[in-house]
Amino acid sequence: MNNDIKDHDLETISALIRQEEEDALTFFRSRNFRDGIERRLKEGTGGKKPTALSQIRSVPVLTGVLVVVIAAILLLILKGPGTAPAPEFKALASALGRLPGFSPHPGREWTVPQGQPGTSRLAESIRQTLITAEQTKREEERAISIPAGTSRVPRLSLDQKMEILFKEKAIEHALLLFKGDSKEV
Amino acid sequence: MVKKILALGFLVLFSLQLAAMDSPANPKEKAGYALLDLFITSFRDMVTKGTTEALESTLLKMASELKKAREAGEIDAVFYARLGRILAMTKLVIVPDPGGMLAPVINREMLFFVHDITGEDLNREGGPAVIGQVANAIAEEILNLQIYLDTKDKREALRKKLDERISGKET
Repeated sequence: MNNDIKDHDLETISALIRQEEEDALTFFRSRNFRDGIERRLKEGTGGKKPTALSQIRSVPVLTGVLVVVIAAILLLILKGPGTAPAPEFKALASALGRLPGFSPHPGREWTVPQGQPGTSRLAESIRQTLITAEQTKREEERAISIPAGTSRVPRLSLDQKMEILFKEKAIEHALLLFKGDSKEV
Repeated sequence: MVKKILALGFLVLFSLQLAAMDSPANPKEKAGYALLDLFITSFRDMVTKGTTEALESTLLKMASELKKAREAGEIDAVFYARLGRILAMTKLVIVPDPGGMLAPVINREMLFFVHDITGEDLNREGGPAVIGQVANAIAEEILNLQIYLDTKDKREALRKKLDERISGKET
């Protein structure tokens, strides 16, 4: 008898719960929460559409953009010798240009070398820069007048030579004098 | 009369001495002696005048004359190489190097040169002490070249004699 009463109560309770669930679901669907959220979002952004930047904030889009940028840089580098000097060529030419005898002639700029098969662009740049510098140096050397020969030099005996070299220490004094004149020791 | 003869004798001896001084020990090596004389007198003149303005041009002249003498066959390869090394070393000492870019090369060449000629190691303090060492080595090498020219005939004769002995030609 007691068992029949318990079973009846359980069925009643279950029916009530199911009824409550259905009522709650019906109420939820009647309020249309998705539309509500979208409306609230539009109100929050002032009715503006999402920007391009906000749209590319996802990882795949960013990766795609990076790939495109890298490809563009590689294309620029592999384009081959152009008219503008490569940065490494400019740096090398600038460094060599500061050395004595390695300055280009006025009005003559450093030219970008054409690539040769079997050599890298940097190696070719170095080669061409050195060739240009060597030519400039030779021209500068040719411009220097060389004094007269040895015909007017007084002949010295061995004793005189020994005295000048070891007693007077002429070479040492002259070199120190030179260093003193040029303020560099 | 005796006094006149004695005076004349002294004059002749003095003239002979002067002639001996002017003529090198090995007349065939005239160009080599002239180059050594030019180097030494140029340095002495600079010290006497107290200015080294002529140093660069002297080295240039020396290099030019050395090359000409070699091309004309007036000096041999040994003399050319050794005097050329002296000129190069002098140039390295005076070459301007404000940024110290050439310092490793200059120091290495100085070290080798001084060690080759005098057997010394370079002074660690650098500066005037090292210049003194290099100058002394240059002076020694100049003297070595003088002796080289003086004894070149004798050396060649010795070499010939040795070659003959080895080949069994000597009686």
